[in-house]
Amino acid sequence: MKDGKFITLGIETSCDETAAAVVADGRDLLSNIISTQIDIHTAYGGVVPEIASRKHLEDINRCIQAALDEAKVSMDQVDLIGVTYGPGLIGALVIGVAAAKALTLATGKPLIGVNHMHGHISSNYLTYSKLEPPFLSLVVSGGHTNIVYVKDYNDYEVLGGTRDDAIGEAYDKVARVIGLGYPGGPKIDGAAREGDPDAIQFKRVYLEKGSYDFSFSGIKTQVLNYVNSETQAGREVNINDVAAGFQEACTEVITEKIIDAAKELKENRIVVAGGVAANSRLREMLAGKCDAMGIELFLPDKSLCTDNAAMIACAAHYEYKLGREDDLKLDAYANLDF
Amino acid sequence: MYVLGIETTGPVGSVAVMNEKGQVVSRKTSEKMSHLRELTSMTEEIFREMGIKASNLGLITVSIGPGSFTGIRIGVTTARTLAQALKIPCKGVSSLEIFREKTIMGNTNYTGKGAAIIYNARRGQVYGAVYGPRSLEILPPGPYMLEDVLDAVSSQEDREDFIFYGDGVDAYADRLEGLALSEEDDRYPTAAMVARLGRKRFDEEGDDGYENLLPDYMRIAEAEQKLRDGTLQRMQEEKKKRYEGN
Ligand SMILES: [Zn+2]
Repeated sequence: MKDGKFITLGIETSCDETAAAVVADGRDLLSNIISTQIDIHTAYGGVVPEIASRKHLEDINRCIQAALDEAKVSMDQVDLIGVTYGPGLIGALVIGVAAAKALTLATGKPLIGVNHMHGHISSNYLTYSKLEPPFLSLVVSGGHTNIVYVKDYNDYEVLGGTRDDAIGEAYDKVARVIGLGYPGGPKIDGAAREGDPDAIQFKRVYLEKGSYDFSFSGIKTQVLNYVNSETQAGREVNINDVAAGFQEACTEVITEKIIDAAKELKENRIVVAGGVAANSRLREMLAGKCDAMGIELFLPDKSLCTDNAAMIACAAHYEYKLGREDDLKLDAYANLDF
Repeated sequence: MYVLGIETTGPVGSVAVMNEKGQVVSRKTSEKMSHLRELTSMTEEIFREMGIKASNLGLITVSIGPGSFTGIRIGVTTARTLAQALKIPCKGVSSLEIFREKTIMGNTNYTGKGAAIIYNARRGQVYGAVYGPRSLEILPPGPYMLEDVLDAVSSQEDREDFIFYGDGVDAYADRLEGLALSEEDDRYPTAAMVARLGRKRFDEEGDDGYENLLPDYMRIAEAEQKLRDGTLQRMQEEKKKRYEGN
């Protein structure tokens, strides 16, 4: 406890960011340390798991120390340790979990393993201090595209997910095809701003009627075919137009599906989460549609969209308050359902 | 002073706590590659059995490799974080060198013979080391072809006086015929060996400092190798060509 507040230390190492953060009473962000490896992996055109694991080990203890120092909290004042235990790269996850368990062994503080995706949704609690479940959530990231009904802090019902590539994955692959490189999300977002979204029409894939599932592998192939046929015909490909057309098609499908879900469930609040929640066109289109429909839209602070440990600390806080606690047998899981 | 030893470089991991008299209580994992799940809970069990707390520890020792990359990282991360949280020193030791005690007279595990240590690194490769009967370093710890280690042993006059240790003994059994192999119980590294060598090294050299405690993989990541030697660039260019349909 510090100043009468319950202190949670969060740890996150599921992909290519080593992160630690301190949150008071679940919502009050005292520190949020993120050591990103993006520059290292850029040379390889994507995240290399072995290199990510090596880097996490080198950075994790420094991040934990920095998070405590910046929050002006001592380890003694920490009441709870929260750590991402899946889903993610297994070699990366084990670093955070091993560190968290060692902290618990050393100090006796309680331990909570947090589902990374619950963490992403929880980033909204840090942005909107009064936001509480239930609400409808759209989770869009490098590994996920989900429509989720959040009934409580620890109760999630998945209404739909991707049947092939996640949205962020599709962005990365298309960015590679049109030569924009890694990371695909921000690169395509930037190029699309210079392009005409109506210049090239890519087919929108909605799947069967009433389904909240997604499929993005088809549009990736469409982009590839388009680029190939234009190149073979000797025409110059306007990368910005391709990026804008691709982004528009994806964004339209996502926006339409989440709005449909809100209508069906009669939910008037949509909470967006995940790295792709930082995408400017998605934010803009969702805002427009929600406004027209009288739906309240929650977008996490851009700094909390990408992987961070503050969201993990927040999720851990609520799970603990609702009565859950893990023991020292906690393990890491590359594939962990919602 | 109580010393914690951590060994997670092979399929079976172990932890040990050694008291001032050199007496050891240890546990090993019940399943292969379950280091993450079992390591800290086994340590807690040992604390209970010995009637001590984490705060009674005075030194954390850990084997830093070579061995399983993921295993090494789980052990080293645990050691680093314990040292950080308990504000105590830590010491990393080589998973090959810990076998050296078997060649040193007066040690509990003294065999009177030399030690050749081989960990399987696949395709005829090993992480290995060779120590003579009186602890003499004949081949320093490093990545080798199995032949290099065998040559180092056979070039010795008393070549019958070397015992082979490590999981390479199992992996390369067909190529070790006629050589002295350790009993299965003595073949693999243990946390007790780590604690003993770690304690000795700490007395000689002092604290590593948790921030400087790092794995000794003995090999750069495969992707990094490909980046350095140009393979990665070549692969990316070929892929690009395929995508562009030329
Ligand atoms: Zn994420």
